[in-house]
Amino acid sequence: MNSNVTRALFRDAFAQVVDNRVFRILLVILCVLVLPTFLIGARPDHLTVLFFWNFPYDEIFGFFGTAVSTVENPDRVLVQAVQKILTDGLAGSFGIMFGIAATAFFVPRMLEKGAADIVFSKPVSRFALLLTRYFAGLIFAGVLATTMIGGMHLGFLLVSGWSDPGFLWSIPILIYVFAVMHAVSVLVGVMTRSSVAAMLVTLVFFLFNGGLHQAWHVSQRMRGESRVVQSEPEESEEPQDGESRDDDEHSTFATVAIFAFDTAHFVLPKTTEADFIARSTRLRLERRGYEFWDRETNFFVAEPPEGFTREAGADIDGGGLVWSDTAEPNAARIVLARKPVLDAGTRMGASKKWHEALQTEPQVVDATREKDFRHDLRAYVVRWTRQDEGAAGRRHARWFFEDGAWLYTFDVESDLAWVAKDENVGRAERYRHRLNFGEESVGNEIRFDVGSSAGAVTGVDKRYGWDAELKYNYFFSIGSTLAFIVVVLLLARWKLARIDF
Amino acid sequence: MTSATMIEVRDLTKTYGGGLFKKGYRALDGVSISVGPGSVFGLLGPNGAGKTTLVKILLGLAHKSSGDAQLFGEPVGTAEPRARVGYLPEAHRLPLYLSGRQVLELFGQMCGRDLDWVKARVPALLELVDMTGAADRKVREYSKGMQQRIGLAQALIHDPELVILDEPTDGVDPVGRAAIREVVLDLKRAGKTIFINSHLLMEVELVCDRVVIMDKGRIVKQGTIQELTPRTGRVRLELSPVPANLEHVLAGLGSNLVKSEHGCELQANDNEIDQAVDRLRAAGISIRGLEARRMNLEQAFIETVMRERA
Repeated sequence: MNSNVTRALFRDAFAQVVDNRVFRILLVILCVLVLPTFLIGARPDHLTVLFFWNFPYDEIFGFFGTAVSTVENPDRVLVQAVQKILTDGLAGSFGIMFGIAATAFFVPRMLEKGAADIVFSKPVSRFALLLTRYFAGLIFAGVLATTMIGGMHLGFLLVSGWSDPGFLWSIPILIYVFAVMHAVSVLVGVMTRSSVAAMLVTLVFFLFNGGLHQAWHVSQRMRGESRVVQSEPEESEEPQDGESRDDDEHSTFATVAIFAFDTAHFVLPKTTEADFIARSTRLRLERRGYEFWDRETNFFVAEPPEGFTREAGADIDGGGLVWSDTAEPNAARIVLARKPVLDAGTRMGASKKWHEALQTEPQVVDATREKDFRHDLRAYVVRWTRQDEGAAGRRHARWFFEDGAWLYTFDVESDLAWVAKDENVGRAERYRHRLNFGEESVGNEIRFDVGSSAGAVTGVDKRYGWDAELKYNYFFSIGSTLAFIVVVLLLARWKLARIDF
Repeated sequence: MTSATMIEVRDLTKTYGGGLFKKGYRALDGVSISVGPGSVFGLLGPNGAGKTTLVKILLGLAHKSSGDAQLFGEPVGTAEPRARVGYLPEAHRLPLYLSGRQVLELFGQMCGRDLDWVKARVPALLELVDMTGAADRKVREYSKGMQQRIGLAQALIHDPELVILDEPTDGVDPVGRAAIREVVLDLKRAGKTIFINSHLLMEVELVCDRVVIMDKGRIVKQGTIQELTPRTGRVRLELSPVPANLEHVLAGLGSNLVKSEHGCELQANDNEIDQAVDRLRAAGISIRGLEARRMNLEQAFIETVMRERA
């Protein structure tokens, strides 16, 4: 196929997309959705409409009984909420379904009697013609995704002064998901030569495939949690989070069912994981400047505690990450460390053991242990004072919490004299976010987000990565999905080559 | 088979819907034809005769069941020889989202031609099919006749050596039909090979050098127009003057004498015609014209098909 033919086919694909009425309607709708980002700017304490009128958040949202002043970075929260709603909610589900419906006729129409005769009699291979219809679908999705996400990004950048380059990753991810569905649509279109069948079968596949992978992720999480629970059961006081225990001995039927389930997951395109990849990539871009970020587990500390300096050479898996008070390094320090749950025990077991050990030491007073379930992160906290440390004693607090397969400990220790200073109490408010460590101990807080609290990656997701084991590996996810697309298109090619027009 | 042969088909068969337990429908049954360069070849047959199937196999649109078919000496089904063929399918559907001009540009490029070359050729072709004024309107706005004319232009856009026209005048008014006939004759004069598949016998008779008649997937007759339209045995004589005693002058010669204002017509063999000429001349009657009557193609076609079916 020479370059003239290639150019002609792509021009034709583009012309077909542009002429598509549904495409034009969707384009207008998306422009309408994107337009407000150019007209309304989100600023730290107010909204700006048409660059001129300012409306404080409390005036707007106070009407609904919401105190925006308590929200940190409301402009960021607002922008990210809009991005999330439009990208994940609208484009990621309805957008894909509209796209499937609008492009389902591309192949069947080409194969209709009369149209096929004229096109397939040209000196171009049938598969090349099929691929142009496939790429026409990708152009369709690409233009719409770029208009919406790129337009929104530009609007937020120009009017709100907010740029989140990681958000632009949603464009290739949407095209990636659509590429899978459109390949299925092409195959069904070739098999049946019916637009309605192509549309319906692809929509059903989209829903079935998404549901199957979601169920697989849930099952993986349950299997993982079940293994941890079995290794060290927690006390009865621990609230159950819906975990279930797997029986060690499955019935033959269950074994076959699980095998079939896993096989289906491995074979079918992993569109659900595309969302993880998008978010991980987005986070990777966002977290490059973070105080600490462990890519393997997606665990991160967004910012250091104010007035604290991190000590060099510290390792979260060794002695822990250590921050010392910048002005008085020996007066207060924070240590963040972790160990595998299988070695260190659960948050409940480890905290209990630690509390019991403290009670046997004569220099330790006021040792308490309690739950700290007030925030996204569920922890047990043990507090105590050592009278033999510092001038007048030293106050300690240690939080035990789990994140995936890891048990984390978060230690805050400070001289009692340091705690008593007014300026140290005031430092706490700056870091009030989701977790409140040290309200009663050292008067210090640290902004401390785990993946789930950032709304990014939860449970099983944290096991995913570019270098994770095969079933959680992004390269495998993308590779197997692309392989699925190739196989589906080759099947379509095989069928198309056998059609008598 | 010579390399100069445009189309060469030998013992071609095509069965639709056949399988292990199904007999299927045999659309072509041992068809053999050969089309040389520079000729206008007509393919005739009633509906379901296998004409379109034959064309589709030649263009790779359908797969043969057995036999051999070649275009320009190369097996059908490969893309290369199709670059030298222009095809106007029966009841074709052009891309509705393109204008007539864009259709020509698209299909010209699809045949491997450079866009600039195609653009330079488009105006002349639009003129040829009388579509210059509507060239930039979308195909969906065209009437059936206009679509047919743009369809013909797209078949010629890349200057093919072989043009295959399947029912080219279908849906076209008489004026348009005459125009298309002129286009075909122009192509013939330009040395192009033309393969016409039609059931409009008059069209075929007027432009074709050689004709094949098919029925039920088989070739039942083929030859030149002359060969396919035999003499009926009747002879028409144009006389001056027409004698009142003509029956007497020609008494005993031939049969079924019918007298007319300018002469007569009778059933006679060659020897009887010679004698008739002699007698008329001896009687002082001028013979202004003498024509041996032939079947027209339609009569020959119907007679052939009916005989075959009987």
